[in-house]
Amino acid sequence: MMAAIRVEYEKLVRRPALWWSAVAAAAMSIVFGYVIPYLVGTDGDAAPGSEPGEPGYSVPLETLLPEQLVENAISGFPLFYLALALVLGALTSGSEYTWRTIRSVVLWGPGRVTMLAAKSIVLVVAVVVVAVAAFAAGAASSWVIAIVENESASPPPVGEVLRGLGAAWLILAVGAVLGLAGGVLARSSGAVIGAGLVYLFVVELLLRTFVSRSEVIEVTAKALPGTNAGSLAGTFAETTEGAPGVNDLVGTGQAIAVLLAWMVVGVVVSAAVFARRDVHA
Amino acid sequence: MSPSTSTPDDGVAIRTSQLTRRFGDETVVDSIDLEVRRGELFGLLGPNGSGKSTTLRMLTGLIRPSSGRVDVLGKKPGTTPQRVGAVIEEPAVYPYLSGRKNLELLARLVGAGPDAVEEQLETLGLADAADRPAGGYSTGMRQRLGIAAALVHDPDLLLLDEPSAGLDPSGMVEIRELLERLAGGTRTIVVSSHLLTEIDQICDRVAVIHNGRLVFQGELDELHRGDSEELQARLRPRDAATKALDDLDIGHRDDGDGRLVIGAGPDRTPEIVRAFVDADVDVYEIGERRRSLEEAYMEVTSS
Repeated sequence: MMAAIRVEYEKLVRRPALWWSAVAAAAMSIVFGYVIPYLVGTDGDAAPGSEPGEPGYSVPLETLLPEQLVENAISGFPLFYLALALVLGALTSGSEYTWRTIRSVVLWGPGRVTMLAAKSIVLVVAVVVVAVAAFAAGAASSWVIAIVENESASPPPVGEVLRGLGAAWLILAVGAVLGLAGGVLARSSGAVIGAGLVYLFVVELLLRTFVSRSEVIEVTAKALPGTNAGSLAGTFAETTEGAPGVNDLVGTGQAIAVLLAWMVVGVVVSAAVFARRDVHA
Repeated sequence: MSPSTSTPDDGVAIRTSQLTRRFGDETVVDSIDLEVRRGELFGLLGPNGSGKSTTLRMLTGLIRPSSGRVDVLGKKPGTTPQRVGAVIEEPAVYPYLSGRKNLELLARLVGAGPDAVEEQLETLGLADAADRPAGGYSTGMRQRLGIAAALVHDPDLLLLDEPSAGLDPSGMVEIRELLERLAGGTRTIVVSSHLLTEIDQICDRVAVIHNGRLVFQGELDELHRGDSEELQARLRPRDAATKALDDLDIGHRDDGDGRLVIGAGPDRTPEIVRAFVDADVDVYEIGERRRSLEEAYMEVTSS
């Protein structure tokens, strides 16, 4: 098992996709978390009562300062970074089929389930890099804004940062494992990335808009990974308004439990399929 | 019948019994009984789409049989990666990794050390290109990298599917020489190919698969000889020779290559030679007729 983990680790850390994901996460954190809100304008220019997207809307300056790093940084995770992790997961397994290296994995590996378990473990650990990149970029951006605006640059409590990173990691891990499972099931990455993005950005978001109208939809939505990721991120926010995907539909405990359950489902289903299915690549 | 179980090792490297694989309604491999002995260089012949690759995939555990039994080194296929090396169809590589790193990763999985990696890179002539990304390798280089990967752990059984595919003539000669060097001892090599000359030059025994069925299995010599007993002779003058054969009531025909094919077995050679001498026919060469592999192949696949 250790040999398989080391091999999967080397394959992933040498793969540009992992580092591009981290760069993309950092860039999104800077651009959408700080640059655009800052350019939209802060308190001084506010039109009273305006909503996000309306003329005169303004972002409270304190949300862009280091003290609110966690709340700001994690708001992108339930949707954008979850999608990023899903893409990374799908690429990790789907490319093995595209490149036909899945044959090598099966022929040389110590066993199909062992190889898939090793790949899952490495991927789940590796997405920490993406979470850290997003938080680090957010921290740097907020510090610059604090200096420019001559505001307090005091950091948030370490415990809160660690809790935020933990939540961010869990969200990314679920996305990555589901992407990996999709890659195994579809035996490619392209189809999974397409379907996964449509699911996250359209299906789940649409479903959540009808939660208040139907109990069935509400129960369904509360079991979905995106909803629970949004609720986990929502525990760090004073308000869930304005951040896409962030919600307060379920409590923290349930969100964590459901996300972990999705992770287990992803690993078990992909392992079961991979163990039994012929390799035609 | 259980699709595949293990049996004790009895000097046979590969044994299949009624091995069958269906895809939907199509039977791609049909009740094949194959036996490959330890230490031999065995050829698997057949046209493209005959079922060779599917058979090899079942031998490596990549796909499972629909029915029948497979034993590879006395075990279930795919359970002894440390003892089996394989290149199935075109070799697969991680394009963003160097050739060396591709090899190192596979070596690590089967417990082979860095020395074995360097040795194979050297043997397969990839040392100079070892640090370049494998995605930029030519087909021939990929093929050699695939063979290096198959050999890196010094396996007891080597399964090679079309090892010369994509190689230029000198590359094909190199691979052939490599296989001849590797053969012998306890290592068993199975080479699948549709190139008859390749198989003819290197293999001890062959199996011919046609439309998913095993139509011949045995010594290469046996395939060359075929069932019919014939002699072939180089002699002059031809008219006197054919008259002498007519007098003995023995059929004959030209082989199209200046030789006379005589419809009689080796036991009648002395009688025929005496008749030629009596008829003032100069005999330059006479012996059992050996068909070309191409002729033999066409015959077994058309029957």
